[in-house]
Amino acid sequence: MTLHNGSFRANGEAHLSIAQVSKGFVTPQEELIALQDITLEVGRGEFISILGPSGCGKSTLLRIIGGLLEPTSGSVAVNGRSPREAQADKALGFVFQEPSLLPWRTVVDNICLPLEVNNRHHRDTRYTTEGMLSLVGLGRFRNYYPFQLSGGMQQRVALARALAFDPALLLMDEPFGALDEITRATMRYELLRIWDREKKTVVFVTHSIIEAIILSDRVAVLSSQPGRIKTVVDINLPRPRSEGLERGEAFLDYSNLLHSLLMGGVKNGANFSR
Amino acid sequence: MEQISVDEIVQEIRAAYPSKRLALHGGRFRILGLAVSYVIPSAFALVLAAIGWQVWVRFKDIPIYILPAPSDVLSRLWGDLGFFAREGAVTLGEAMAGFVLGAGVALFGATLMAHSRFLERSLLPLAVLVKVTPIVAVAPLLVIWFGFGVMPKIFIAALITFFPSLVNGVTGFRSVNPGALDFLRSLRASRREVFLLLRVPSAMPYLFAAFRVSIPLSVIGAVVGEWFTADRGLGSVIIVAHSNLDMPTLFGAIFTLAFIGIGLTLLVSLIERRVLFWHESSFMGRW
Ligand SMILES: Nc1ncnc2c1ncn2[C@@H]1O[C@H](COP(=O)(O)OP(=O)(O)OP(=O)(O)O)[C@@H](O)[C@H]1O
Ligand SMILES: [Mg+2]
Repeated sequence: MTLHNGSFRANGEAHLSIAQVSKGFVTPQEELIALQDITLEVGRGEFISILGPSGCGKSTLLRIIGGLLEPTSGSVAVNGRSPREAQADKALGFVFQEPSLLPWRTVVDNICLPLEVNNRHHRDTRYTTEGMLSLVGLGRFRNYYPFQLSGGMQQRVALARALAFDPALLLMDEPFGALDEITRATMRYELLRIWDREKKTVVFVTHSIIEAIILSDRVAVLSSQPGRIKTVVDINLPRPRSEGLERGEAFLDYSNLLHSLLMGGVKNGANFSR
Repeated sequence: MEQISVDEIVQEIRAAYPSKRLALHGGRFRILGLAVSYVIPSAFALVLAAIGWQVWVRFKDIPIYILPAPSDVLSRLWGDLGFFAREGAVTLGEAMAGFVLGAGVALFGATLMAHSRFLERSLLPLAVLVKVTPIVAVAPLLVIWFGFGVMPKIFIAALITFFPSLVNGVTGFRSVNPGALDFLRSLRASRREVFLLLRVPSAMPYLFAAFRVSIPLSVIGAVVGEWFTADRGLGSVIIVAHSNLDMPTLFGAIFTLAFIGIGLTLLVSLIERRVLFWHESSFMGRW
């Protein structure tokens, strides 16, 4: 296992390309450089994780990819188009750390929300939402309100809401961050199952090493202040992945590698062999 | 998820959120329970106070032109129910028209102000000016401008209603869940869609808080307006009764106003429960 295997380029056709993106925030105290010179390509159907310590700019990067924030310099292209055009194409599905559902809407109506925006009713709205409901295992709870659901169930509704309008690119910002360890582990494999079926491109922000390894094809490790890509690690574990993997030797190797990368013990581009 | 059945999850939720489940499935019993637990104690206190008042007036032999006993007031009310209902309806109508006008203009202003800091900065001082000006001082002026009909009363009620709705409206329209806002923006939702789908429902708790305050205030506004041009309404009844030292009638008007106030407050609470079932404030047994 060598680090320089990891690539900033996508293995196939690039779905998302981030070119020399930097972002500075001007605060009354100082000018903070949150992101510096981020370059990364993500292939179609690829699952990539962005792993880094708190405050290193992961959310900022995701918001720039999603067109919610403008970079100070550099550019982002989704399918060769700008993030704002991608928004208009309904090509982006966001899932945030908090479920961010509309509390006055039932589960179904929350999932339908993206279909109501811009009056873009899909041909088969009902079919889609029904499909999404069963995909996330909440068919039984269609008429429940968010306050009647557990945190994990709410997060599954948020996932269904992001999938309902069939976006090609899923942007997930620590979607399981607010969940307990057990629910979190369950959701991990639930997400893998959904990803296997839906074949989306996923950018998954996390600071959980386990999550990054189990889910991803590649893991981009960010250093903090300023946030830069330290390295990109290929995760060459067989798919479909299951819980047994978490106790395997290969997993532990990746875990140790990512751990030392996060702790700053490894210089950029250093070699690793096992 | 395979190892846990759906029914187990349901059981789990029911166990974890008993009160929340009640809020939805136990609606009728809840209302009944509230009636028993709130209405009976307050009715009890009310009756006790009335008895105390009655006894005190009779015992001290207080003349009726100073303070009538509750029995005098009630018999006056009962003897001329149509009269008090008619005058009360006039005042109530003015108050409600004023409330609708004031809240309507306020919500329109709040919509503009929530979308533009510039408009907020330019309009808010104006609104504060309206607020800090004592309405009683403006009332005679309004009578001169709008004559002796219902218009000045409606305007005074509207002026009193205006400010709470405006301030809470602006705060409410802005108090949206940032994640939900980001989600809508990532779909390229228009301003109008964000407003209707997110801002308006998010503002409801704030608006109801304002309405709870401003609806009773609108009745006060209407009464104050009637004091200046006494021909119809409970305010004019009070003025006339006062100059005749007709205390039973004066108290009859006050009782009618209190009744209107209670009725309106209950009505707002009931509508609020319906509309805000999803909000934290509904999860407790607040009436
Ligand atoms: N609107 C803003 N104004 C000023 N500084 C900001 C703003 N948003 C983010 N920052 C700064 O940018 C840096 C990165 O923030 P960001 O939220 O992207 O971190 P993160 O990696 O997502 O952290 P966490 O894992 O805790 O969510 C932080 O130092 C933060 O203070
Ligand atoms: Mg973050």
